[in-house]
Amino acid sequence: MSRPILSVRKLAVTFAQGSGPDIPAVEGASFDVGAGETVAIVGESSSGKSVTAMALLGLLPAGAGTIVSGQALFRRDEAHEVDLLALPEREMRALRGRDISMVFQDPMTSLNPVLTIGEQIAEVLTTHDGLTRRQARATAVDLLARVGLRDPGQIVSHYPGQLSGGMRQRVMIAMALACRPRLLIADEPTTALDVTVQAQILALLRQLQAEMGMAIIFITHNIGVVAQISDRVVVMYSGQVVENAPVRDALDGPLMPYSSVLFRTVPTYDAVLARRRRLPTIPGHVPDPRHRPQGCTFHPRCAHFRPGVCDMFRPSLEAAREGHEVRCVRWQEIARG
Amino acid sequence: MHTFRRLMKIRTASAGLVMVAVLAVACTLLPPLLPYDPLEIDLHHRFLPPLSGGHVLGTDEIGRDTLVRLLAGARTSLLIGLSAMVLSTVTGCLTGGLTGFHGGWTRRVLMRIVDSVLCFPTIFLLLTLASFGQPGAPTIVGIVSLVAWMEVSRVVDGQVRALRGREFVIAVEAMGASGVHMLLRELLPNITGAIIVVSTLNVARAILMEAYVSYLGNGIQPPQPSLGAMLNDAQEYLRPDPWLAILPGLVIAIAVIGLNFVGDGLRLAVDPRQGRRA
Amino acid sequence: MADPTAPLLDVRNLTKIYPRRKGLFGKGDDFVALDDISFTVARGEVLGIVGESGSGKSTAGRIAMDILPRTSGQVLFDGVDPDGMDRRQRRAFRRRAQMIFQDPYASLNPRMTVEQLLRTPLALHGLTAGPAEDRRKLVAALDLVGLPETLLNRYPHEFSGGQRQRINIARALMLDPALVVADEAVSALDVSVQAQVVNLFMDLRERLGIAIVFIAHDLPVVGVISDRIAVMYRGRIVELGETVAMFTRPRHPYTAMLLNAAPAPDSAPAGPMAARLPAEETDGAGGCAFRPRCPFAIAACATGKPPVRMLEGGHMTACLRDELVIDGPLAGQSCR
Ligand SMILES: Nc1ncnc2c1ncn2[C@@H]1O[C@H](COP(=O)(O)OP(=O)(O)OP(=O)(O)O)[C@@H](O)[C@H]1O
Ligand SMILES: Nc1ncnc2c1ncn2[C@@H]1O[C@H](COP(=O)(O)OP(=O)(O)O)[C@@H](O)[C@H]1O
Ligand code: SF4
Ligand code: SF4
Ligand SMILES: [Mg+2]
Ligand SMILES: [Mg+2]
Repeated sequence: MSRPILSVRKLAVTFAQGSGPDIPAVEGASFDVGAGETVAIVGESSSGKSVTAMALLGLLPAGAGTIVSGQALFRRDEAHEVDLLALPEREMRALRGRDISMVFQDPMTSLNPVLTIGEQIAEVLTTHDGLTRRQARATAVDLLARVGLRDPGQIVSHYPGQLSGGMRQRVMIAMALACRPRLLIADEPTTALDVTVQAQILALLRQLQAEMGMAIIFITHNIGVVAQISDRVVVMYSGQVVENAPVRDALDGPLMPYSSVLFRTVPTYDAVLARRRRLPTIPGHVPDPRHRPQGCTFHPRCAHFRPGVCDMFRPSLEAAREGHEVRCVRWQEIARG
Repeated sequence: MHTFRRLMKIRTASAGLVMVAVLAVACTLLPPLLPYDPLEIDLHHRFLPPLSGGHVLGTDEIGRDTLVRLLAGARTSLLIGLSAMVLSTVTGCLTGGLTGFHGGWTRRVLMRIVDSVLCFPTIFLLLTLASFGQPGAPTIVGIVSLVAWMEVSRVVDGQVRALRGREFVIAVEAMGASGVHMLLRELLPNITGAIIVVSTLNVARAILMEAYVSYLGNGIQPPQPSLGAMLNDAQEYLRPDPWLAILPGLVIAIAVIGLNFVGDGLRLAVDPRQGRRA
Repeated sequence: MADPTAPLLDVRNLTKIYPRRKGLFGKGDDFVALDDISFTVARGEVLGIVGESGSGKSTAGRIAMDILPRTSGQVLFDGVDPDGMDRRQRRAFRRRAQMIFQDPYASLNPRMTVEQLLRTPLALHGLTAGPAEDRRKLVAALDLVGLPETLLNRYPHEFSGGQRQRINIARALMLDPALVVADEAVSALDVSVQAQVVNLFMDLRERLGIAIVFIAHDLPVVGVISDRIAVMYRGRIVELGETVAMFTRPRHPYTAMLLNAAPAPDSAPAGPMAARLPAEETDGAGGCAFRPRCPFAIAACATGKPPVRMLEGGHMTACLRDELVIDGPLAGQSCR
């Protein structure tokens, strides 16, 4: 692979708790994103996906979330590389929305209800690209048309509350793409939408990516979506990256026991025929981050658990083969069967 | 506790808190330690300037110790402010809570009244009311609250209305919660921040109003010490003895500015958008 | 009390019109969110409701729970309309019918700990039985939804979306309801928890005979859990029928489009029935609302609302073209 556009190394984030010890939300996450590549981050709730994304953009809640360590080298252009985690707030603000942008799960909470859609897009354009208000408005109409909204000339003067969920998410994407970022971070952008709109948004992202060559970090629970949109899958479990592989390798032959059970829990149409049969699940639950198990943090739920091995050593992320990393002490034995 | 920590990070707010705290502590703890009584007349030592004759802040036109009178006056002011605040907060929460919750014609009528009353300059209203009642602390508390509860009511009404349609409220409604439960357990705890802000500002307003009314002679009656009345008395001697006017003015300013700083700081500190996103 | 073979929930000719102020969308028309819909839910049955956002699923669910006024129509719970219930009946209704909401961020009071949140339903219905017994119930409910009891003293903002939704479900289960209206209750959950919760709903239905109205837009999930499925489009139920029948041979083109748009881990994006842009403004005025997006539209589709047709096996559809044969994702397969 060519030089990555983003290289995250050993990112660790903790949250301060009013009482009691800090919560280690992310513990040493490392992964790369190549230029023009789509990396899906999957994992159960509270595994640290959103926190990772927010840390990269310097959006951790002030006073509560702290980046303890790590590095995230982002290639702004061919010559310049910056560490996102060490960037002063002022420079981060200049970068956000221009070089890297983000789409959140809930478009309603991230749009300002009292400004029109046009005003909000124009805001982004005037701050980052220095356009005049009139140019910005014209560009806004353009962008809305690009994301497939009908009648963009009308929509610029609407308020977010007047649009449907799917339309709002398109508006968010239009805003995120306004300055042609090199990296788009999308945190469950389609989870709140129905399948037809989701299919359209995914198609839209793929098309815009092909046109603009941006890289995408796509956070999602939906493995079907992962299969459709991503080149590479990063699986997170309780604050750590446990597997990182090209999408087909990951879905067809996951090496980490957690990834395999995670992918198996997805209901498919075939499951519909097995009336009343229970869906496969992962036993137990994600550990409380303040009381993570010794050794491999997945061991209390793992079918391949070997006492004395898995609960003694914390496995490190090792390369199983070129471009396929796994965090499991027994992956070789398991792969051999 | 988070709110408090955030509050202390706001410089004006922490300064305001210090001002109010010092004043409150001084007027509760200091008077017994001083060798004078606020009503004790000493015609041999009239108009003593500050730091003379054993009187730290001097004496007034009939030789009463200014410091002791200031502290006693400030205490009266604070007590009046606090009582008016409690009374107006309780009334305002009840009325605003009910109108915000039920809407309908009660709300329209009540808010119409509140709006029309609030657009009068309150001071005229206050003086009119004061001229009817028995002068004294209870009357002042009563009339100040009579105006102040409306402010609280309007804030509570607005907040309750905004939260009423939120899912967490509908969720318990669907579970069979009564109106009282929804109001007291679900809604009010979520707007304590806003209530504390208006209440704090109301204390400041009450203190200011007490000073006004007493200054104009309809409030605390002599010889009881009151900051407003002291200002009035000092008027005649403004030229030769300006400190008699400056000192009570200063105390009023400290109390009112301090409370306003705290109130404005609270407004920022309780901003709910500080929570986590997703 | 009521006839045990009669449906637990019987919704008849429900219509909901939201008044819309002038200028909101240029026009000042009232907005018809539900247009004469009818469905039933038998005791212990799971009825799935699917449809795009804004199609009226939540509106239907909320009216059934009597937390939203209707414009016209009837809702019968155990044969009685909540509108005409006396105090005692109403209390029982509020206990026996529970709702789980769409948005896990908005449906928990941010000022209450998990423990207080879960105690609320018990307190509301006077079902408290001493601190120890109550606590046992709380822990059991948390355990059912896969949360450790160490979380009891934490506040909602400290949880991720998935954890919050589990708290919501635990709270609804505190009262042993007969009907649960789950409005997108699993949409915000991650796959593993989604599977657990779907299994949990199936358990509850089998063990306790709870009937469920399962509103969602993830079709495989709805298919796994539902006995029957109602498909909504623009305020109407356009198709309603047995799950497997619908997945093998959908009768309404919109159902087919939904079924084909759902991404699956092993399939490439769908071909002929690929999702078409929803027509946000044009709504096929006068005719079939789906006409602007329908690949099968004919001239007759423009001339009036297609009537609801009953087919074999209680299947119903609101498409004019009864000769259409569209393959669903399970075409040619039958129940194992
Ligand atoms: N503001 C906060 N205060 C305390 N803990 C937090 C905060 N934000 C996140 N956490 C904790 O950090 C961990 C990771 O949370 P994160 O939101 O990244 O999960 P996620 O993988 O995005 O989950 P989901 O799929 O549910 O969105 C969780 O244990 C969560 O409880
Ligand atoms: N309070 C309201 N006022 C006006 N229109 C509303 C209101 N609530 C919902 N609607 C409209 O009614 C339609 C159905 O909404 P809803 O039942 O929430 O859809 P769904 O749950 O299927 O996404 C939508 O078009 C929505 O915009
Ligand atoms: S290290 Fe052991 S417990 Fe952990 S995933 Fe591998 S086999 Fe399972
Ligand atoms: S009635 Fe006509 S337009 Fe409507 S779904 Fe059927 S074929 Fe399509
Ligand atoms: Mg998240
Ligand atoms: Mg809905």
